[in-house]
Formats: sequence, C-alpha cells, structure tokens
Amino acid sequence: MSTTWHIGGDVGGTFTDLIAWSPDRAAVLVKTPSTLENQADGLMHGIAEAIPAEDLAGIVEVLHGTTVATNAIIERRGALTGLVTTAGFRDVLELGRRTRPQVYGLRGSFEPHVPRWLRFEVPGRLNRHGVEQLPLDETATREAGRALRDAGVQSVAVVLLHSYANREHEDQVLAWLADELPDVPITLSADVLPEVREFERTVATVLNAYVTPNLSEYLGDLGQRVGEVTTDARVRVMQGNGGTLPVAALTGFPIRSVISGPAAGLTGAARVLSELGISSAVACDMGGTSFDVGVIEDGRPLTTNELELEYNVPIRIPTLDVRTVGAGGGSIAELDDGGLLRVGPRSAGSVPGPIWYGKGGTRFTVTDANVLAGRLRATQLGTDLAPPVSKDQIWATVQQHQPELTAAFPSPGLLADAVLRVVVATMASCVRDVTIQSGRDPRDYAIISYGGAGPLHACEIARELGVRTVVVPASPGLLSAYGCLIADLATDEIISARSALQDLDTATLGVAIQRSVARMSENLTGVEGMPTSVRALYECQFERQTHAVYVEAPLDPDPAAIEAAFLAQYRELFGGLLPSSAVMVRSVRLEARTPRRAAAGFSLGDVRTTNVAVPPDVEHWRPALADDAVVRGPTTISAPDATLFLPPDTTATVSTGGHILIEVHA
Amino acid sequence: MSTTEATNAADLAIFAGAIEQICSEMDTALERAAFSPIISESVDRASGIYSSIDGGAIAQGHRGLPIFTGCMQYSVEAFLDEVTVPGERDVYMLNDPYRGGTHLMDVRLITPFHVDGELVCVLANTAHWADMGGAVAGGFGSRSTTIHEEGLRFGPTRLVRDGEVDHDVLGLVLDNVRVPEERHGDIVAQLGALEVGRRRLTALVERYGLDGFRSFADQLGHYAERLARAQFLRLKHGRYETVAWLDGDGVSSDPLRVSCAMTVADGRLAFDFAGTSPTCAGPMNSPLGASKSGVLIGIMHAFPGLLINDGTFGLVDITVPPGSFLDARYPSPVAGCASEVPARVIDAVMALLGQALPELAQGAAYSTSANLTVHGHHEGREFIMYFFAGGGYGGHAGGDGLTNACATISMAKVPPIELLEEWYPVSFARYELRPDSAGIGQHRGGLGARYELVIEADRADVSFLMERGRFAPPGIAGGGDGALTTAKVVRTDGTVELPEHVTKDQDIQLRRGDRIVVEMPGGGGFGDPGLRDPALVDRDVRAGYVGVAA
Repeated sequence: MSTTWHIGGDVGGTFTDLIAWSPDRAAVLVKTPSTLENQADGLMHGIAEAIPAEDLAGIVEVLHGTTVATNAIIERRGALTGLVTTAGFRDVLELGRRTRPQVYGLRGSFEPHVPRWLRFEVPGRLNRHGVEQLPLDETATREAGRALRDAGVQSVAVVLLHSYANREHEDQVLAWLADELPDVPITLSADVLPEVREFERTVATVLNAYVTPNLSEYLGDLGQRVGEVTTDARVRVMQGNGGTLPVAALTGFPIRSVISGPAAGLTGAARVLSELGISSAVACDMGGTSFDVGVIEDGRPLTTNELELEYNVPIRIPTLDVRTVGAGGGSIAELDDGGLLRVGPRSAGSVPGPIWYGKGGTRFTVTDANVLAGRLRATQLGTDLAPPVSKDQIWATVQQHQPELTAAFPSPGLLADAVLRVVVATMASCVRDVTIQSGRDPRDYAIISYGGAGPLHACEIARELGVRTVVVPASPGLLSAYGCLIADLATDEIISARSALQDLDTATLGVAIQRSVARMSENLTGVEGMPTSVRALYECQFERQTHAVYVEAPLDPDPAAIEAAFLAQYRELFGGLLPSSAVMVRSVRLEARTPRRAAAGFSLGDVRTTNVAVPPDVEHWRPALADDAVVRGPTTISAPDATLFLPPDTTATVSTGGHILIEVHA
Repeated sequence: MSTTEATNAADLAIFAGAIEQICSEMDTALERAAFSPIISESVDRASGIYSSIDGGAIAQGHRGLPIFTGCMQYSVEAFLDEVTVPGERDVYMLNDPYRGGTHLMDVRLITPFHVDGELVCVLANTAHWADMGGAVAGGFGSRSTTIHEEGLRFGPTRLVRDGEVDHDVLGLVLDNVRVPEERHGDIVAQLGALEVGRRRLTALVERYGLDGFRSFADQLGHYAERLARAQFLRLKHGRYETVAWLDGDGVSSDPLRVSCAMTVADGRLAFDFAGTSPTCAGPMNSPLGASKSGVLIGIMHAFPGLLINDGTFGLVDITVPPGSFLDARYPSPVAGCASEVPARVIDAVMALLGQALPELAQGAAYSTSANLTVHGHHEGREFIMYFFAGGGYGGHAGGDGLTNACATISMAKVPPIELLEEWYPVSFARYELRPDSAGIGQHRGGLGARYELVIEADRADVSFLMERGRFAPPGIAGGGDGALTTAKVVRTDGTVELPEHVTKDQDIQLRRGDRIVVEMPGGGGFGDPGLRDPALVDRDVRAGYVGVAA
C-alpha cells in the first residue's frame, strides 16, 4: 500500500492555498495562483505540485473551500432562476427592507438575482399561525411552472408567506412544479431558512437556487478530475458554518458554501488554540485586501445569521461570525482633502500590488510601510519574487507619485510609522466593534493572528486593545487550508417554535428536535461511522422585541433552563435592567458536528514548503527555530508564508505544534 | 509641515476613529435593547458627543438617524442654556420641539461628562418612542392645532439624580403615554447606552489626558472644516434659488411653500428661506432645529465624506424668517416636522447644490415618510402600528434612481410583513412595486412601493400623515416627474373613502375587513427620455416597471 494523502485547499481570490498531509510524510504547503475561470484547474495544479505523480493514487480526501457560490452571487453569474411566491408579494426581493446603501448619499443600485418577469405569483395564503386562509391555486401554479419552463430557467425558488409556520403549501407547490419542470432543481424556503422575515428568507432561498447549477457543475467537474488520478478520493466542501460535507450532502444547499474561506480559517484557529490549551481568543486574519475578525469562545467560533454579502443581500443562514474591514497588506495610504492620513479601503490588490512587488505599483501600501520599517525582508511564498525594489526605490516612487505623502511625512521612518499606526488603529477598532457589539471585553481574550499579513501587526493590535497573549500558528499563511483539512462534518437545522416560553409545547417541540437530531446524526455518522454531537441553540427574545439572542440549552426543551440561559446572556449583552414582558422562543437551531476519523492526527507542527531557500538578511528564520526557542522583541521572525513582527517588550516562545506564543508586556 | 504636524496627521486619524466608535457603541447598545420596533428594527435613534460650551457636535455615530444627527446639537444647546450646573451623574430628558427637539415622540437623554469634577463635554442620544400621549395614538395626528393635542411635552427634566432614577419623574411620564411598559423599556435602553458612552469616553480621556483630549477634539473640528471647505470650493460662486412645495398642513388645503436661496462664496454656503410660507394651523410646522437639520442633511447627502462635526456646520449659514412654518414657536403643532418638512428642505438644498455643481444634479427623491398609524383594540389589548413604505430616489448622470429607498431623513427599515402580521391584527393583501411611478428620463427615477392592508381587528382607526399628494418629485434636465402619493380606505362594501386633505386625515374609524391602499411616489427622472439606452427601455417594459396597466 502506497502512502495515503489528505488534501486541504482554500481557493481565494488571488491564491489557492493547499496543504497535502500524509500520516507518514511531512505535510507539504503550496501556494499557487487561483484560476478564476475554473477553480478546479488551480486546485489540481496545486495538488500536482504538492504530491509526487506516483503518489496521486494515494489521495483519499480533497477537502476544500470554494468561492464559486460567493463569486456567482456577487458577479451575478449564477443560473437563470425563477421565483414562485404568494400573490401580492412577487417584489419582496426587489423591495428589500426599504433601505439605501449608505447613511449619507442618495445614489446606489441593486440588481435582483431574479428579474421581475421570472417572478410568478400564486393565489393561496396562510396566516401568522400557518393556518390556511385561502387554498393554493393549482392551475396558477402549473401555469407558472410552464411559463418558467418556456423561459428556460435552470433553477427555481419557492417562497410562500408564513411557510416557516407551515410548509404544506410549499411542499404542494414543489409537487406541482416538479411535474411541469422535471429536470430543474427547486429550492423551498422551508428547507433553506424556515424563519420569519420574508425578505431575508426570500434572499436565502433565491441565492441557493441561483448558485445550485454553478456549484453542481464545478463539483461535478472537480470530482471527475480527481477521479482521473485516483478512484478512491472523496471530495468534500467547506461550509460557512465551519464544517465540511460530502458533495452529495451539500447538494440542495450550495448557499452553505458561502464565506467558507474565512470560516475555514476560524476553524483552523480553534484547533490551534485547543492544542495550546487556550479556550477563548479573537481571531484576526489579515490578507492582501481585507482584515477579517471572528471570536472563538470555549474552543468554538461564534456563529451568526446576520452577515450581509453586499447591499441588500443579507445571508441569514447560520455561519461563523466573521466581520471584515478593508485593511490588508495592499491597502493604499493617502491624504484626504482635510490632510488626514487614510489607509484603505482602496487596495493595490495583487496586480500591480505594493510598490515593493516591482510589478508596476505606484501607490504606497501597508506592505511597503512594513518594508520601510525593516519588518518585511523575505520573499513571500507564492508571490514569485525576489524583491527587486529597494527601500530607496520605494521612497523615490512615493516622492514621485504621492508627493503630498512625502511632504507630510518627510522621512521613510516617519511615513512608515504613521501608516502602520493608522492601520493598526483601524484593525483594533474592528476588533472592538466585533467584541463590544456582542457584549465582550477584548481584554478577556487572546489574539490569534494569521493570513499573510496578520502576524506583522498582531502584537501592536494586542497592545492597543490591552490584550496580553498573542498566538501565531505554525504556517499562519495557510491556516484556511489547514482548517479545511481538520474541520468536522457539520450540518445545521432550524425548527420554528414561535411561542411564549411559559406556553411552550415542550412535548411537540421535543419530538421535532429528536426527529431532526436522528436525521442529522444518521447522515453525518453515516459518512465515517464517527459519533455525532448536537447542540441546541434557542432563539429567544422578550415579547415584541425584534432582536433575538441565541442561547444554548438542553436538547430536551426545558423552559426553566432556557429562561435561565437567556436571562444570563441578556444581562451580559444589555446590562442588568430587564424588561417585564414575557420571554419568547422563536426557533431552535440545531448544530450537528461529527469529527473526521483522520483529522485528529493532522498537525501544522511538521510541515515543509517546496522551493524556498533561506533568504539572506533575515533576523530569525522561522523554520530554523528550535522547539522551545525564546525570541524577544524588537525583532522580526521571517517565514515563507508570513513574517512575524515582535515590537519591544514582547517575548515569543516556540510552543506545542510549532505555534508561537507571544507575551505582550504592558 | 513640521514633524509635530506630520505626526498629527496620523494621530488625529486615530483619535477620530476612536471617538466615533464610542458613538457607534452607544447606538448599538440602544438599538439592541430597545423595545419600540421603530428604534430596534427601524434604527430610529442617534447618539453623539457634544461641546459643553455651545453644544456643537464633536462626534456622532455614523449609523445615527440623519434627522437626529443634524438636530441633537440644538437640543444640547438648549440643555446647556437652562441647566447651568448639571450634576455629575445626572441624566436629563427633553422632547420640547421649541428647545431643540423635533416632534414630541423623539426623546433626548442628555448627560454631562465630567473629569475630576470638571465638565468636559456632553453625551446625548435620541430615540423615537412609539407614543407620547396626546389625542392620536402614535403621535402622527394630522389635525392638531396646538402642541397640547400632540402629547406630553417636557424641557430639560432631571430623570436621573446622582445615578439614581427619579421614580416620580419616570412615573409622571409613563402615566401619560400609551403602552407604558414598552416605553419603560425604551428609557432603560437609552440610559444603558449613555452608560456605555460614559465608560468608553472615560477610558479615552485617560489615554489622552484631559488636555490631549481637548486638543484633539479641537483639531478634529479644524479638520472637519478643511474637509468641507475643499468640497464647497468646488461649487460655482453665485446665488441660486429654488422653491419646493408641501401638500398642506392637514387643517386647511393651502399648500406650503419652501423658498430657498443659496449663496456660494469662498468655500462657505449661506441658505436663506425668505419667502417661505408663514406658520400654519396644522401639524406641519417645523422647529428651527429640525429645519436647520434638513439643510445639513442635504449637504451630507451631496458630500457623504464630510464629518458630522461643528467644524463642517460652521461653514454653513442658515437664515429662517421668524414667523415662517420652518421656525415653529409655541404653541404650533409639529407632528409632521421630523418626517415631512425637513425632507422638503433637503430636496431644496440638493436642488440648489445641483445647480452650483452639475455632477450633483439628481431628480428629486420621493421625500415623504408617508406615515400610516393604525390604532385599535384587539383581544383585550391596545395596539399601535406604524407603517411607512418607501419610494424612489431621483435619476442622476451615473444611473437610475434607487427603488423603494428609505426616507432621506432616516435609515429606517420597514419591519417584515410577516412580523407585522404576527404583532398586529392586520394582514397584507399585497406589498409590491408600483409600476409607472418613476419619473422618465435618460436615467429614470427609482420606483415606489404600494401596499394593501386588511384590518382584522374588530375596531380600529387609521391616521394618515403623508405628503406628495399634490406636488410630485420633480425631474431634472428634461427628466419627468415621479408619480403622486395616493391613499384611500376601501370599505367591505367597496365604498372608497379618501383622506380629507389628500394625504392627511386622522381617526378614520375602521371595521374588520376594511382595506387601506397606499401608493408611493417614484423619484424624478434625469435627462431627456429620448436618450435612454434602448436595452434599458426594453428591460423596463419587460419587467413591467413602465408602460403596463396595473
């Protein structure tokens, strides 16, 4: 038997990151350009680069995060999709919630993912309790189906008012439409998001339908390509909830693959923290264009259902909670009209990129500031460059193209210092936003920092926030790929409850929960035979409050336990004063997680990168650091995937698994 | 530039971010804990930090409701005038329209911020309560002729004394409003938000030191001024004039005229409202603060990058003739002042800026909050439901106007129909786009919405406080006007009743099965419709945005 290989991959906008891991070899890291036409190309190139040809047949798993769905949604390149909805409500998708993109400014635009002529109404109405007020009109439904068929739609979404309270009408519509459109995938809102709020539910359902053909085609193609090199490999897809699913299990819910990249990073971060025995941290991922923040608590990344992909496109399905600001290595520094230094959100991207890349960039970026400050010295993995641009050349470029900057900051040191301080403040305030908005104090957390540019700034962000401990994982630049490799199998279900806690029909709800738990466990455990655990999160609020809080309580619904958990969390979030009205339970979210058999053995500790020599001129070279090595700031620890900057009064120790643990002294 | 100044270009950026973040944290705390759906779901609230000298804005949350954002400095100014020595842990409440307020439902909470016994600045927030007593539930009565019919009014009133809520004051307020337990929840949320602000500001001052804090706050004002001046210098010098109309005051059918002249000189703007209609009998008067706020919002919409800071506003002179309906004095009723009147001021200001800088030219927005209040009793419980649908914004050189956008004075979202049906004894027969509502043009306006609401309570009454029933959103540069607002009640026997004053009426009694039908205006068009891209014309026809009889 030859060596077996597990592939973890994260396909980003610029690079495809890949880790090939084998139980009896060193893991291999590869960073290769993404191929945007067909993401499978880049992934297969990466695999070919990582693994010797004779070993390809040993691949047993390809676990990866893909941006196919996200890109299709943002670039409006999804399938021609139809919508069938309740009479009087075909425009919900376009009406939105009556908003504009920005608080100030009356301009903007929004292109609905289903054009108005493909949105059909059918008579039939449920009331708020799910009780039928008007029976469904079969003739109208079938006519809509035929019209959609004639229009050549590739996918259909069905969203009826109050279907979260009673799905019978949607199921009936599905049956009739399936008759008329036998080969077209149909998505029901009662499956994707059985929750009150018709606009958000419509968006989730429509987007799911919209990306179904794209993702099927991509996964089909990838499966075939993988099948050409080995017959045994299973392809799995990362989801926004931080878990993976076999391709077959994701079928029908491609929307769940949205934001899988950041979710994979958080999942990898949680694993690194558990290896170090740290339970709670703020995860900071800084790449070329953006800074993503998430919170890990008690070993688990926090989840949300309030992400907005772009204006008027909320994603209300459960995902890991990741917040983004436009601050990355490529963020451009400039003076605004009032003479204030701004860094980002404009970015030089990867082409032309920072001035330092020597690919034609003429705008001073955060990366350039790091070079001028002496922090960045080494070639970076995947960028394919031995930096041809010197500090003097960078300074000369700024003098030529942004003379206002060099006038305001008359030396390279001053300019670099100013830009770095502003970008650190921007990132720190993003961390504050994320923690404070959920009632958390950042000082109670460690920071775990990754992404190509994260470790350059992590200690300063920590100091700004009063955080004392910083973790930099081994191979911080490829943590998302690692996250894919070790993620659990995962699926979520939502059960509508909509009752005052005191009136909660615990018997009926309990049966519904048990039914879901049994179904999810069977599906997930069926993959590898590993045990499945399920958590119940009850969505609670005081009566008529619009904002809800999710609290964990036993699977067997216990009103006293739910109320205690809710009140405790409410106090933590909003202070000690409690309203006097009744507590409501709106829904129950069930999170099923199943560890993968091989994942426990994967560690970042023992990896090697292909084709990287030790660059000259580095202060410390990370792959050469001994276990338990101690390094004191100020200094830099260079590495092929991401350089770590240690400011004064910091002490870094190489710890378990090759991760670096930094103490930031006050 | 010296090294000290160079350092400041970065340090000030960091300070600006930090102080604005404090305001946003206050907004978040208020929004998440509030009970009134209009606060939590519609984000009808704002928070800020103000000068303790003149009430001028130092910073405000970037997600604050614009009309409050422009106005709170006037409330704080009134507070500082009357409460000369506020106690360190006191909190005052205020809703008096004539002392920096808007309509009575908008309640400000104001607290001084001291460091070592010294008054440094003032923290304040505003939230829209769903009721403030008065003749009409919800406060949007359209036939009031004095402020007293509109509800409970209070100048700066000490609600919290040395950290302790004064239950006498609280009781007095709660005894005079409908659904008092919800209002209590709103007060608690507002107090909580101020506490968040106090904690965070304390940390900021500790970090910078008091002198440092004051110096940065001062520099921030200068920076805001530089930023604004750079934009204003792009406007062509001169004097510009415009007129905008409101349907009427709800008592008579005479339209109200907003006349405005703008003078641009040397990076400063002066607005003069001479020629504006006199004080009206009905509730369409606007207090000075709300009117001025309309000017500032119009400028911010035209130049979204400017800072909400006294440094910006110091470059703008506003003259409102005393005795006009834009300078409401006791006892004029003002219920329409937050939503309708400043909206028309914004229209006028944006029209003027478009004359002075062509790239700002844009068809008018639908510009009516179109408040519908349904009140009644059902299954032993009293209810008050607001609903306001959206309309279109104007087309502009860069493209068509936005469809079903929020009011220009706010960011208020519409609650989900499913939740409205859950909370209130109503059902919606339809909620959809209104075809042919947008002004035509090379770039057309955005579309308005229309809705049909069925009453399911045994007994209810409805009030309309809307606009644009007689004066459509004007197009520009050859573009057409948007459609007019229509509102009607359809009885179960098919009889149609129209509001007495086109868009305004109150306490129309309703029975189960009666329907309310409202159609909202689209935005004004931009440019010659003959120049419109034929592909877009085809798309509009195919989608039924235009040219299809509904």
